[in-house]
Amino acid sequence: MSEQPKPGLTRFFGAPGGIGVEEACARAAHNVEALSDRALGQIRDCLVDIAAMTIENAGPPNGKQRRDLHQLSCTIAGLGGMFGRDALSKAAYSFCRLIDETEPGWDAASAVVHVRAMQLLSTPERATLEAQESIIEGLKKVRKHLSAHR
Amino acid sequence: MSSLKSELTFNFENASVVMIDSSPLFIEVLTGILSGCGFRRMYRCSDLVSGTDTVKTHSVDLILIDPYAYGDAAYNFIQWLRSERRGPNAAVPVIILTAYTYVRLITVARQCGADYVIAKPFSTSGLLERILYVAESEGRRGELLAPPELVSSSGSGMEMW
Repeated sequence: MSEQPKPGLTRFFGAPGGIGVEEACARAAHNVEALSDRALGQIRDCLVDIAAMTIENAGPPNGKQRRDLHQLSCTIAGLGGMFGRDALSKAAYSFCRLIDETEPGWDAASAVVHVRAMQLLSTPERATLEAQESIIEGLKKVRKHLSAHR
Repeated sequence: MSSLKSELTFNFENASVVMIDSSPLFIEVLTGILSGCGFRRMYRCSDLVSGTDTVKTHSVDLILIDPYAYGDAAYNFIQWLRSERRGPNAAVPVIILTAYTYVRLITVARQCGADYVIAKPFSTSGLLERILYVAESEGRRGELLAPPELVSSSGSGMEMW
């Protein structure tokens, strides 16, 4: 009597011509690495746009700019850690949280601190791992301080 | 979450996966990861319309979706998928990938029927591990007893389920 076919993806487990986890991960990592230049370029572009709406802009962002800032930061958060910039991802995530937590208001100083942090962390060789962690902890404290005084 | 099984082999050459993400670059990143894992039939969708059309017209084995750009419509899509009980894709594993995790997202993800939420950024091994995990859990959705919150050691947000 023939076996019932396994459901879903498990029917491909143990199939002829298969590869193991280690080989799959190595191939996948190699493929991702090939996108590094483009990813870092996109991160740079996002940071330029973010700086234009924060550091270089005296007034608070309007609704659309706020949404744009959030999206740009999410893009950085999603990509950074996949290309050797884990602290940058965390800083960008913190900035997304800041945008949400200060809505509908805006705290320019806190925003600038976050943007400067992201700019620094986009070039991780400029700071040791300990320094990067310290920066992230600092950003959390900035948000915590803001929350306590709202 | 158990570590990746070193003795497991798989051939996903004939498996179909749908990727729904508004970022063309991230779609390429996912493509790179999945092709490295052996997937060859990949449907790349930049919006929910094409994602829905793909699911309606193809039998697929996995869906990866970042709901950020689509808002509640993304969760409605998953809910619709699960409601099509006689459809070929009603039980397909759905993994949400997102750079911005928040408590409501986790609740909504559970309610709409997603299998897993993974915070971006993630490692290639991390994504593969979750794909293998949900593959083995298919059909047991709702019985998962994982702790409600796991802090990811490699991501910026929280990895939950």
